[in-house]
Amino acid sequence: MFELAARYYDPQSSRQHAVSVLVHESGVVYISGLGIEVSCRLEDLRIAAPVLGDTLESLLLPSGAKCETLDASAVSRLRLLVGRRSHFDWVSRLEESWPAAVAATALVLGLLVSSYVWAIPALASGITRASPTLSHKIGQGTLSVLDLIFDPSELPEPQQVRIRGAFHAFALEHPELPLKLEFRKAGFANAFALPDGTIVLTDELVELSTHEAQVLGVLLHEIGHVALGHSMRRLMETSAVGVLALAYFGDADQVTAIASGLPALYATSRYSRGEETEADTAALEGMRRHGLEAVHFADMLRLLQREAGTGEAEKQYFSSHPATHERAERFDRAEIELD
Amino acid sequence: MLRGSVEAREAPAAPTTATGAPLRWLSLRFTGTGGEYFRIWIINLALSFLTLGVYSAWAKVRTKQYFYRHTWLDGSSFEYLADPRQILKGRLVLVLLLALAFGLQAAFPLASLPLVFLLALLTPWAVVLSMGFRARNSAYRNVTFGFSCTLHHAYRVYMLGYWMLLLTCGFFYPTVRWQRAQLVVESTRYGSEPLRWNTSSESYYGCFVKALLLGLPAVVFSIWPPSFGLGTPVWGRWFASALFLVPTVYMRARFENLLYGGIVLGPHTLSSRQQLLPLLGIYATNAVAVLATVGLAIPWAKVRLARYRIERLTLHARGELDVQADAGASIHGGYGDAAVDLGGVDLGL
Repeated sequence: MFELAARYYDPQSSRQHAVSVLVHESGVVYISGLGIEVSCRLEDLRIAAPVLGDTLESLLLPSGAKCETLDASAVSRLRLLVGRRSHFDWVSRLEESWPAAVAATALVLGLLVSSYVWAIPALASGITRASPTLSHKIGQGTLSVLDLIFDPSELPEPQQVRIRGAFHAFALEHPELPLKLEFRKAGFANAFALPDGTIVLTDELVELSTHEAQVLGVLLHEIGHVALGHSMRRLMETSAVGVLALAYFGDADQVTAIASGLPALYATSRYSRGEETEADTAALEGMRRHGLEAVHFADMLRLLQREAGTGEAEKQYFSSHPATHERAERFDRAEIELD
Repeated sequence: MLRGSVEAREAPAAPTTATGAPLRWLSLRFTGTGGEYFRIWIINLALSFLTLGVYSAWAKVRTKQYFYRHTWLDGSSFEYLADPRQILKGRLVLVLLLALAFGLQAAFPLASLPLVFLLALLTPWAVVLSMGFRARNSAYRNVTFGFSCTLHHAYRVYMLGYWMLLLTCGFFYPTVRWQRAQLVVESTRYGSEPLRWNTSSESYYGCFVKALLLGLPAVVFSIWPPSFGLGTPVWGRWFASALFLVPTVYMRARFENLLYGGIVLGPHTLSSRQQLLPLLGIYATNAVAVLATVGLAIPWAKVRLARYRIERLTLHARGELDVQADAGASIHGGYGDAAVDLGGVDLGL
């Protein structure tokens, strides 16, 4: 038999009544105070799930009435007596233990790192291989959106024909890929590969180049992206990193989330820098096979950088591409090795 | 730390007319700590990962229970009563909707415009459901909150707002936000006692004008460096975005002050006194701590922010906080709650 001090609320109002709760050996709980005389059987009493820290404990009566008390030790004795468990009981035991917290931290960080290093790339290339129709749909869709802002190409016809000719020669090496070349006037110098094997080349890039081999090097780089399935993979990787980041950082406040967005950005750009290096390798090998001098690719990179006009070195960690001078040097070196 | 005086409370004289009752200034207190919440947070994350997200509904309830139970007013704490299974149901529906939207967008990228339009159409419905779910599952002294707003009313306020924004190119944005806040506050009740709101729409305009002025340095700085012919250096962009924090945090503090500060419950009034500089300090140090610990400081950051926001609230109470419970509360599912949680539907408060 023991007693605890509590505040009693009847089911109809928020009015407080100071009461004393007497837990009797007979299995009956008596609640008494000024004008309050209530009893209930022990097995009908429900105790709200505990929360970490010093909080009020709640005893819920079947009538909808409630007792609140700060006497945590009496309530834990009562919990033993009542014996019935709520679905939060085992969770609250986990929450109380620091060893469990340390283990959970190791587990969470381990899962995050291993899914980033192994699971996401494997899953992404698996899905890419498994569904060519999906890549086709996404590629077509992307081009139709891009065409809202792009204009038809204004490159002279003979130049287009020359570039196309070289492109078809490159494409013959990959008969399994549905490679296609599209010219567009975009307003900026660039080239990119869509998931369905379409490669978009902007007029501005062709106009920026000082030698046709520079453009062909870019095409080989983009074909490399298609052959390695990068476009689809990047889409998958970005979504997967996004989902993970949402799960991990989702609990942060929005303003703090600006800070937590940076790790996600870093994670995705690390993937993409790796892919750029792979595509550069493909371009380098392709240029050798077709008797193009690797230095043309390096020159194109330098032209593009001059066009963009920014010092790139500072933002390396968050950039989607490796630093231009490093990439260019790789092609310069290749030239020397060949000689 | 506030320790509620449990036993020492005499049965009050219960003044039925509030005018003669003494005025008490009741400060809200928050007693949660970063260490305690860290353990809840990391267990939540581990179990959510292991169950592929299913546990996240339970995680949400555990988190809310912790924050509610550690929020004290006049010796009693708040309680969160939601059934995790309800939240899980809501999340499943939401994940399906999102997957559908994502699939549609991947297959037909041009469909994203109609999707945005559809989202705008669904917002009032999500607000009514989620605010209702939250209110009905929040309790203080054994009396739950309630939310009564017809879909018809919510749609009228929101559709009117959309048109006002369109026709005036956004000039009436403060009014629109004010109307939405009013809709939410005045649809809420504690037990049988409806909340009233005495914040004027003019004060919302004042807040926007001041936020615009505070944002000027950031705007100037973000367009200034290129005139040196160097392009925008990275540190310059960082500095400019840091400057943008000032008006953002100011708006947050001010809007919460206006939202909570205007609340009237029977004879009692609430006031909120968040200030720009302390809040800015909390956000800045939180961001640094979260970055430096790769996220492990998130619980600590969240607790600090919650403590500041809660402890700036004061209830000016006339007499006891006694209200009658509301008998006819209808029960909806957890759909709307999940919509706010996952989709981040902007409630515009």
